[in-house]
Amino acid sequence: MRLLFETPWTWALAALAALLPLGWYTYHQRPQLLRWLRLLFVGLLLLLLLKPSLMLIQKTTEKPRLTLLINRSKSMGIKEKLPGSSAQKTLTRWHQALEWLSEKLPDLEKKAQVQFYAWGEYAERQSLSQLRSLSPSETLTSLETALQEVLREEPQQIWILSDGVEESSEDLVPLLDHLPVPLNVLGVGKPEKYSGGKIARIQLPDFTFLHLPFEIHVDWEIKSKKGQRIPLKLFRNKRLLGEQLLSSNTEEEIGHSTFTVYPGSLGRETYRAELDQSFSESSTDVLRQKWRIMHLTGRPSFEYAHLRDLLKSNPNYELVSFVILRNPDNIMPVPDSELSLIPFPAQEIFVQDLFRFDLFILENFAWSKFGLPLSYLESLKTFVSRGGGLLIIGGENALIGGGYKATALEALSPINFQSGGNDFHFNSFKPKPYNQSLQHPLLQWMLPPGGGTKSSSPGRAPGDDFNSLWNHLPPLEGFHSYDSLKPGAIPLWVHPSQKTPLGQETSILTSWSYGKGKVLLWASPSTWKWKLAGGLNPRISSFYARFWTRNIQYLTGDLDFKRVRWSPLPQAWLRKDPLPLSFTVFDETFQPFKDPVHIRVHWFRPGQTSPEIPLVRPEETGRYQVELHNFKKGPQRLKVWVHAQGKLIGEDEIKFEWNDSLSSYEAFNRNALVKIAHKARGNYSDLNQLEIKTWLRELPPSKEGQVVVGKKNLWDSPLFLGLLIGLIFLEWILRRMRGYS
Amino acid sequence: RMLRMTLPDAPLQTLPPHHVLFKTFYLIRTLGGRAMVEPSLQGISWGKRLVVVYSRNDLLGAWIKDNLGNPLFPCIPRGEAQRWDAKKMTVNILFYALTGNYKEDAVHQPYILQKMRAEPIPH
Repeated sequence: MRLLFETPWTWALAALAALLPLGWYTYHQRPQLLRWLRLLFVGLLLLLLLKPSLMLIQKTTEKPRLTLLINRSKSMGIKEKLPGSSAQKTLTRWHQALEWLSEKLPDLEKKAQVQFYAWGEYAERQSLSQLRSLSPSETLTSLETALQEVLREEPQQIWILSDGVEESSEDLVPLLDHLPVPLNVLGVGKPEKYSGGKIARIQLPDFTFLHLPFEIHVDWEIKSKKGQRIPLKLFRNKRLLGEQLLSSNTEEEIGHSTFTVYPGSLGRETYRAELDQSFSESSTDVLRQKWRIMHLTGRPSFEYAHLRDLLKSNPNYELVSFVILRNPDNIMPVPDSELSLIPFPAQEIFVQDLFRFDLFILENFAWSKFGLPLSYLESLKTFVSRGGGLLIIGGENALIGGGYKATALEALSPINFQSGGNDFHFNSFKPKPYNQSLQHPLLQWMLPPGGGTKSSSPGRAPGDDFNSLWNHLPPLEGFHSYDSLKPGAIPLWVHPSQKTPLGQETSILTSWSYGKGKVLLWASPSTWKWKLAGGLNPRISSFYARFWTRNIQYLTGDLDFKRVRWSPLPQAWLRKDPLPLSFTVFDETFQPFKDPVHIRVHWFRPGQTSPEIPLVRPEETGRYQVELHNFKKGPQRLKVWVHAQGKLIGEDEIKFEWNDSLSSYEAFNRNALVKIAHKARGNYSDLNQLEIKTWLRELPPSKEGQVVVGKKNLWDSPLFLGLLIGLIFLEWILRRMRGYS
Repeated sequence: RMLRMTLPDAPLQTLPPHHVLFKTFYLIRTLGGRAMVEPSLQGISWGKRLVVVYSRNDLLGAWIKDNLGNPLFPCIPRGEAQRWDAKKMTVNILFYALTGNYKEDAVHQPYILQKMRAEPIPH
């Protein structure tokens, strides 16, 4: 109990100051009895003005606050047979957690103030009896949101009970790194039985670039005898890329391995990690960031100089070029130290480094002069068949003049070389587009606005519309004649008058596919004249650059490059509702598109119309996300269109099946839970393995405190009033009885 | 004056000794010409390309021959060595027109540096 005066000290001083004169006056009163009565009255009055109160205080012990977060996602509704129990006894993971809580509650409450939260999309405070009435039905869970909510109550420790199915520790890193309280994790679920090793997850980037390395991350678990080694293998298309030997110092270990690999080829690639009997796969889209071009030319020429300038000026091209400045038969009486010549690296070009390039340009190079092995040409053939591009530029040293008759280069060429004689003719001519190929990508760019398969004038072939363009182009010098085109070869530009022995127009630019690669044969080494003529005539000033750029793009597959791409779906993804899916918009240099765009996404699902769905927000420049809600079972298709400045820059489509039922994908994910515990610098245990006293010992000690359990205001008590009145009355009686004045 | 009128925005500049023109075919350490008026070469670049080469030493004058095939003009002061240097520079200019900055590619540098360190053999 404690006496408390409620009047502020300033008022108390004022009251004392006001009553002191009265007290002083009273003190000098006679007789003495009256004096003391008056003093008692003043003192009592002063005491009343100080507002005394009696506080009843009780000592308390405050236990630390322990918050238990129980996962309420749908996967917690999976029934499992409990270890050691009969086949009939199964419990859902949710009920396993509640049974454990009921059993351990006395131990918990002895040491802590226990608060229960059920967490799905949010965390809701519940009592244990309320939890028993709930069912695990949440389709969306957010541990991050749940943790943020429970932290508002300032617990001293948090324990999570979960099967780990929905959670990824990577998303929680920012929160877990700065968590102000310890966090422990209890795994609820039956661990998958395995012996040896198990792949928990394989992770790689959505997009990678050809020729650039990237990392593949593999999470794994192993159960093995101490010191036993198990190989972790990485495959691409059944080809072994790498292997790491894993061994554990304990009987059970969870770990992480990283492989650094180079993509194999453009397009979708699937990588597979295998550990013992377990495996997991994931895919990435391989794009091209820079094209590597090898340009080998047999002699210095204006054609070489201008084409080299064009290729060097494009930041997307890495150009390596070699020009033969001196043939083997050019003997010069000059010491080698006075020449800037270097040895011709034929072995490097055709064998060692060939497959690191995307495009090989062979320009007017006389093979026969160098005595190079024909196996080098076979290597070039393999290069093209595996997907490399080949551009052959003619001249007097090319084709027959270069000694290529009946070699691998003739096999690669889209034409059958002339049977005999000289096939290169130094004539002046003006090539024209081949009418039947006007829709080919290499000619389409020259079409007038609005397309144009029909001529603007009746009676004229569509190609005649190009007169307005190529009439301004100067004539070219020199072209190759040949016997015939090979099946599948497409003539694109043709000689205006020259015919083949079969009576067909002689093709000047011919395209062809060989294996996985493309070949272009340009039979005239004088397009540099177009370049120079462009300096005089603005109408054709860009023609040269566009002509060659288009050809290079065609050969390197850049024309096929999709600038809008959905991120690949993982092989085994967690079926959430809503489901987030991302797509990326690229610019022409494979960087995220920075300019403003207009995006439409349509979702086609069973039995529904195809509504446009909104974007959530741009994740980062060029990358966008949508969220899909309310799935219906069956095939799903999403399509995205992206426009910039009113022009369609790309579109992409993704298809997948949606099945709402729980599947083996929802296996107890101990790996994810262990990672969360480690990142939060806490502990992990399987639910039924926990020695609860070890965790409870880590709770902070209880705090001693005080609490006010009652309060009595003395100053408004009738007793005080009665005393005051009584004192006044007593004085009056004394004065009457004793005759005091 | 004519160059200033034709290309007013591109001034004539001295080409440094490491310019690619000095190594497009021959490795040139000294300049030549019919008369050594200026020990350096000048040029005008347009972007990354040299579009004008100007020599005050009469490079082509060192090539001219009479009807008997003998050089028409003496090369002063170094004589035939100077004529040879002029011919080398002329060839380099022609190769530059036909190959551009080819000899600036990284693959050539180690060889060129090694040769440049070697003593030139006197003619």
